[in-house]
Amino acid sequence: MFQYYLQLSIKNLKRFPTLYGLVTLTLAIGVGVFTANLAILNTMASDPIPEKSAQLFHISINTWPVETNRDPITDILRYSDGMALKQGEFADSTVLHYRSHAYIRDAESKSLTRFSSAVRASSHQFLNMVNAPFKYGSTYTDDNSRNVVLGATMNNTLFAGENSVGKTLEVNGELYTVVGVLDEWPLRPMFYHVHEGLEFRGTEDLFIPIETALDSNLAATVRTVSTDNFDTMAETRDRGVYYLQGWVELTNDAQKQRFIAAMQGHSQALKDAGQFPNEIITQLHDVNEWLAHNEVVDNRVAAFAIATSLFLVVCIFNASSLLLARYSATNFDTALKRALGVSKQQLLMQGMVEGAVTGVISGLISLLLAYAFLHVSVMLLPNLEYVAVMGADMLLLGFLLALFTTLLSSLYPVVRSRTVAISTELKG
Amino acid sequence: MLKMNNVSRIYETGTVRTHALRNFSLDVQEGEFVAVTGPSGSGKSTFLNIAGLLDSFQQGQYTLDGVNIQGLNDNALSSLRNEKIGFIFQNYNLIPDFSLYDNIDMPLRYRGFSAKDRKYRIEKSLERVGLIARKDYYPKQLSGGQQQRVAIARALAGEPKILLADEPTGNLDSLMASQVMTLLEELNSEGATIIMVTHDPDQARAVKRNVQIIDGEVSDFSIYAPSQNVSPIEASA
Amino acid sequence: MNIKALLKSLLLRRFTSSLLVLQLALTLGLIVNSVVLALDAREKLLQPTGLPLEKLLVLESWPTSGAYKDSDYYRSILDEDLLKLSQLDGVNAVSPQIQVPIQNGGWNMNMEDIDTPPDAALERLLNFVAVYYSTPDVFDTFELELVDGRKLTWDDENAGETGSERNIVISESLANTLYPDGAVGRITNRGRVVGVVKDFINNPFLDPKKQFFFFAIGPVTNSSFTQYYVLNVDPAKMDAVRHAAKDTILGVQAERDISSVYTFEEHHTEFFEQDTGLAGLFAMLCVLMLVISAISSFAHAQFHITRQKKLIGIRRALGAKKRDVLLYVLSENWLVTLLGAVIGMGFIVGFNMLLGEQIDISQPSIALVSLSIIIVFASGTIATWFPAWRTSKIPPVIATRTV
Repeated sequence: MFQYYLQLSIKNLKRFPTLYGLVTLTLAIGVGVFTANLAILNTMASDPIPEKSAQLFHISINTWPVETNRDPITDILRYSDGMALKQGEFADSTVLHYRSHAYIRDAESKSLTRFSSAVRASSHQFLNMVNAPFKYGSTYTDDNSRNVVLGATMNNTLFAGENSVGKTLEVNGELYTVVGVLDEWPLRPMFYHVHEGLEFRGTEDLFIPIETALDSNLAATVRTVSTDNFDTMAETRDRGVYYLQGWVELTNDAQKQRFIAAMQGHSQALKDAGQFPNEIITQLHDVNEWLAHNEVVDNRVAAFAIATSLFLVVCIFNASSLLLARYSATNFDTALKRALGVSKQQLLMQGMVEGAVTGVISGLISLLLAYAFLHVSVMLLPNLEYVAVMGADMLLLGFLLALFTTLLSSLYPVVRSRTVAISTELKG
Repeated sequence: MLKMNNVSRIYETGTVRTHALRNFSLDVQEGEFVAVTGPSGSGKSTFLNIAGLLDSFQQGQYTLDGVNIQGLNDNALSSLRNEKIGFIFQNYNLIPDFSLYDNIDMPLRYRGFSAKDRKYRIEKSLERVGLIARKDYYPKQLSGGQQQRVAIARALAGEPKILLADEPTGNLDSLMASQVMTLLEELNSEGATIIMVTHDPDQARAVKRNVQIIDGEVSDFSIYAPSQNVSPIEASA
Repeated sequence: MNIKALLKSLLLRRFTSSLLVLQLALTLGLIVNSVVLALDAREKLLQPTGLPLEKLLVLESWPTSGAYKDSDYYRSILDEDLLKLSQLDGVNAVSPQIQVPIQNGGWNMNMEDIDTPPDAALERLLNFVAVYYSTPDVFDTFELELVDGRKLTWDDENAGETGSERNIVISESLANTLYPDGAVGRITNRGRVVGVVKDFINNPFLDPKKQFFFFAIGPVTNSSFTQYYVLNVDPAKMDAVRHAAKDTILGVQAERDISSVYTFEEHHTEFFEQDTGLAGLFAMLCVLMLVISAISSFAHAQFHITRQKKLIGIRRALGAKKRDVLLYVLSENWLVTLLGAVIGMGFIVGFNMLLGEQIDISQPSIALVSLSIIIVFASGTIATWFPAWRTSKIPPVIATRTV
C-alpha cells in the first residue's frame, strides 16, 4: 500500500510542479538558514572535552598586592601564586600555561625561512591533562628541558607530515628537540584559554616547557596586567605580573574542597604577610562553567538565531497556505476517492506520504542551502571561520527538520481536504 | 439487498428546515434493476447519496446487504463503499491523468488486493466493457460513451453487490446512450443488482422496476413487465 | 469598495488569511529591526575618528632573527627603517608604535595624579589609559592638534622608565577628567604633563568623550612584540608608497616577517566588520523574507481565483468592469497587509526587545516603520497584480457554464 501512496505522491508532484517547487524551496530556505545558524551555535556551545569536562577546573584567585577599588583580577595568575598552588601538591595535576608567539624553522633545513607560530608554554602535565592527541612520540616531561611538541599543521609545513620526533627546531634563534607530534586537534572552543577571541582560533603550533620559555624570554602575547615593570619574561617569576592560565584536575568533591582550602590558605598567608590588602576571592570553574562564565557563544550569532527561527515559522506558514491551495485544487479527486470507498484515514496516510516525499526533497535542498549560508555567514563575519562547521549530527538534524516541517505544513491542508462535500464535487 | 425503512433526511439552514427525504422506504432485492425517477429537487440525489453511503440521515433504518448502516464510523463506511457499491456517475468522474488501467486500479488498491488479483480483475472488467485493447489510453483520448464504459468497468472490478448509476447516459448522445444502456441490461441479466437515477422516462420504462420520488417521498410505485416491446421470442411466435 | 464584504470573504478563509497576516507581521518585525541594525552599523562607520584615515598607512612587522634580542641592535635597525621610509616619495611623516588607534584592548596603563590617596574612588576607565610610546614624529603622523602646552621632542626621551619624572602629552578628554582646571605642569604617576592634544578615537566602543591616551618618547624595541610603523602619506601617492614600503625595510634588514600592510581606511572598515557583517546577514534574511511573502501573496491571490472563478464570472455578467474585479482582488491584499501592519507593530517592538537582550540595537523610528509598511504594501501589490489581472480577464460567460 505504501508503494501505491508513493506512486501517487510522485504523480501529484509532477502534476503541480510550480506549487511543489515553491513549497520545497520555501521550506528548504527556512530550514537551510536555520540549520546553518544552529550549526554555528552548536559548535560554539559544545563541550570540547566531554570525557573530562567535569574534572578540569580553571583556577581563579585574587592576589592583587595593592589596595584598589577596581574589578579584581582573578582569571589570570601571577607566577608566584601559580607555583605556590602547583608545588603545594594539593592535587595530582596542576598546570600553568600562557600563549606566546615565535618564528621557527627546521634547524637542518637549507631554507632560512622562519614560520610564524602560535606557541603555548606550559607545565609538562598540560598536554596529557587536556587529552591532546599524539600522532608520534609523547609530551615533554621536564619543565626545564629543551624538548618541544609540534602541532599537526606546523609539522606538515616543516616536515611534510613525516615523523619528526628527534629533529631539531630553531625557535627564535634557539635550538630545541622535537619529542612529540600532535594529530589534528580541532578544539572548539579551545576551553583552556578563552580570552581575546582565542577560543575559536585553533590550538597552537608549538608546545614548549614553561620554565624554558620564560628563560628564553618568549613573551606572553595575551592579556597581561602588572604592578611592576619588567623587561624579560624571567623577571615575571618574582614580580607582580599577571598573565598565566591555571588549571587543575580534580576527580572528586573532596579533592575539590581540599584545593579550594589551599587557595584560601594561600590568600590568607599573603594577607597575614601584609602583601594582599583586598577581599579574598577563590573560585574553581569546571570546563562548561568556565565557558558559560566567559560567554563564548557570540551574541551576534544568538541574535541571528532568534531571527532565523522566526523566519522558519514564516516559511512553515507559507508552505501551509500553498498546500491549502494545492489540496483545494484536487477536491474532485478527493471526493471521487471518498465515493469509491477510500477512508479518511487512508487519505491522511496518502497526504502524509506525499508530505514525506516533499520533505525528503526539501531536506536535500536545505542541506545544500545550509552549506551555502554557512559560507555567506563566514564571508560576512570572518571571525566565524573556525566555528562554521557542520558535522554529521547537524546534517541529520537539518534533514529531519525539513521532513518534520513539511509534514507539519501538510497536516492542516490534508485534514481539511478530507471533509470535502463528496456529492457536490462529483455532481457536475 | 438494499432496504430502507422510513428514512428521513432534513437539511437545516438557519431557521428553515427542508425535508429532502421524508419517511422514505424502499426494498431492493438481489438481481433487480430499479429506475428512480422524479422531478428536479424531488430528493433523487439525496436518496442516491444516502444509498451510496455518501450522506447521513436522521431517522429510519438502512440495511445494505445485511449490514445495518447506523452508527458505523468512517472507516467502516468507506470499506463498505469500496466492497459493496459500484458507482457510475453522469460525468464519468475518471481521473484525467491516470490511464484507464490505473483508474480502475485505484479503488482496488485501497481494498488491499494482491497485484496479481488486481491485474486479473482490471483486465476482466475492461474486457467485459470491450476496452481491453485501450487499457493504457487516457480518458481524454476516448469518446464519452467509451469513458462511461470505463467508469462501469471501474465499478465492476470490485465485484460489488450493487451498482448505483446517477444519470449514466445524461451526457451522451442517443447512440452512445443506448450502448451504455445495453451494457447495463446485460450486466443485470448476468445477475447484477442495479439502481439507476434517471430523468428519461423512455429509459425508465425499459427497466424492470420503476420508483418515482416526488417531494422526498415515494409517491408512486409501479412495476412494469420486463421489456414491454415485442421480445425476439414473441416475434418469432 | 465594500469593506464588510471583504472582511466576510476573508473570514471565510480564516486559516489562510490569518497565516498570511501573521507572516506579514513577522516580516515587518524582521525587516524593521534589520534596517535598524544596518543603520546602527553605518552610524558607527560614519562617526568621525579625528584621524586623517585616507593618509595613514600601517606596516606590521615582527623580527624573525634572534639578533633582535639585543635592544641596541634593534634600535639601530629601527632608526635606519624610519629614515628610509621617510625618504620615500609622498611620505610626510613616519613613526613607530606599539599599537594603533581604533582598537579594543591593546596596551593600557592606569593613570592618576601622583598624590592621589590609595583609597580614592577614581573613574574606572582611568585604569585603561592607552600608551603610545613613539618618536616626536608621532604628532605629524597622526596630525595631532595641540590644545595646550607643547609637543614632545627627542629631549623628552627617557627610555625604559615609566616613572613620574618623564614628560608626557595626554589626550583632551583625559586632561578634562584628571585635571579640569588645567593639566599642563601637573604630575601623574606616568609622568609630567607638558602638553594636551585633541582626542582621536582610540577605542570606538567607548564614549567619544572618554578617549583616554597619552604619548611618551621612546620607541619600544622588544623583539617579542609586533612593531607598527605608521606612515602619513600624500593620498595621491598612497599606492606607490604602499607598494614600496615592504621592500624598503626588508632592504635595511631582511630577517623580518612583514605580517601585513594596510591603510587606515581598511583598518577602520575591518574594525566594524562584525557589525556590518551582522547587518549583512540580517539584510540577506530580509531579502529571503520578501521573496517568501511575495510567493505567498501570489499564491493567496491565485488560490482565490481558482475558488471564485464562477463567482467572479457572475459579477462580470452582472456588470462589474474589469477594473472593479482588479480592485476587488487587490483590495483584499491591501486589507490583509493592513491587518499584518497593525499586528506587525507589536512584532517590531517585541523583536527589538528580544534582540536587545543579545546585542546593542537602537529603537526603530516612526519614519522607518512607515517606510517598511509601504515596502511590504508595494511588494504585496506587485505580487498580487498578476493573478488579479488574470482574474479580471475571466469572461462573464463562465457564469453560465458549469465547471
